[in-house]
Amino acid sequence: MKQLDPLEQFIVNHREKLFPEKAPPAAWDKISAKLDTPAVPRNPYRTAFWILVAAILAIVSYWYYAQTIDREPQQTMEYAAIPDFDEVQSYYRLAVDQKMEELYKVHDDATIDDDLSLLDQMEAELRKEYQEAQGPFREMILSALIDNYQTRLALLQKVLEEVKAKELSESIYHEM
Amino acid sequence: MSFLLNCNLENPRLKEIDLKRDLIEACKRKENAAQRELYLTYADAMYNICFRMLQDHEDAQDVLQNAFIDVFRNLDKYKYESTPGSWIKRIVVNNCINFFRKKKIRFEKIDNLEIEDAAEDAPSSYELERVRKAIAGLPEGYRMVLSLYLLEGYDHKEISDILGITVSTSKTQYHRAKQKLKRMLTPITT
Repeated sequence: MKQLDPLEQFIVNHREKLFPEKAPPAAWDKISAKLDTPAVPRNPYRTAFWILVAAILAIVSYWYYAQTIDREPQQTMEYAAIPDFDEVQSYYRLAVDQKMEELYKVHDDATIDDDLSLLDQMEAELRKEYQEAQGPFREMILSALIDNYQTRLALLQKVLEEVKAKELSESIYHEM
Repeated sequence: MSFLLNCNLENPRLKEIDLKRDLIEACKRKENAAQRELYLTYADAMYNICFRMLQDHEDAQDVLQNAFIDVFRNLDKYKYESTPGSWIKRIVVNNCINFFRKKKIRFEKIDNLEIEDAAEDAPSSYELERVRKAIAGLPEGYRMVLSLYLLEGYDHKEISDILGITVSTSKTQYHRAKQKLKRMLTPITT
């Protein structure tokens, strides 16, 4: 379990006393009144209608795709297969988390947060594109996601090395 | 059989589930007295969660009511895989998040932060009222992540799922929230 600093420990130890609020007495009456009013029932036919519409759209889309794919010139593209992407992703996420913990203990500068935020935005965009992509494009996006993690890890490692080098040179200076 | 029963009761989580099972089943049968008892069991704790996140009594009451209505209307989906308290808490937290989404909760952008001196010497002791006011004074995004992590016990992965942010954003927001709290609690020396 992560060790808490004094402020965190204080907040955790005094949680009940920090926020000793009581639920307003009248709240139950309002809840009970609304429970007595049944929720508006969902119309099952409405759901079936939209499922049918979605199915028709899917069939039409597939037919259109099948028509157009034959007209495209054959291209052979080779993408690196990404077997076990979930495992790779878990590995990088853990490595990034550990590196961030290590860095935050010794470094308190907002600069790196800007870079990490940018990488977060890029990751979010890639994930969004992945949902909409098909076929070999998905593998390209997975490769880009792995690159994103590797960049994040390299950035954290670089900053950590610079901080440690600076600390070392300062300690040498003080000893002189 | 009794040996197994005793073993189950040793585990506090399973104990809570066992103790509340009859009450939950009565609520599923829509027995009003049972629903009221379930509400009274958890109301204060859940109200505190709402107030900690929203810092407004009226908003907290509205969210509490909506959350418990969701609890009772969806109780048939509760399958005893977690304690009743955890399940209800998740619904309450989701309702708080939805409330913020309507208000368009803002996570502090790092480049919008004023450059302040970091609290070099955090106080060695804290006062309840000052800490309470400091937490209340945090920007919404900071307060939300701090509340979920430190007060409600969620980890950053869970917070990222709840709030729809990345784990690193959650950690950054938490780190910044702590820094801001320390600055607010550091006495000004003249």
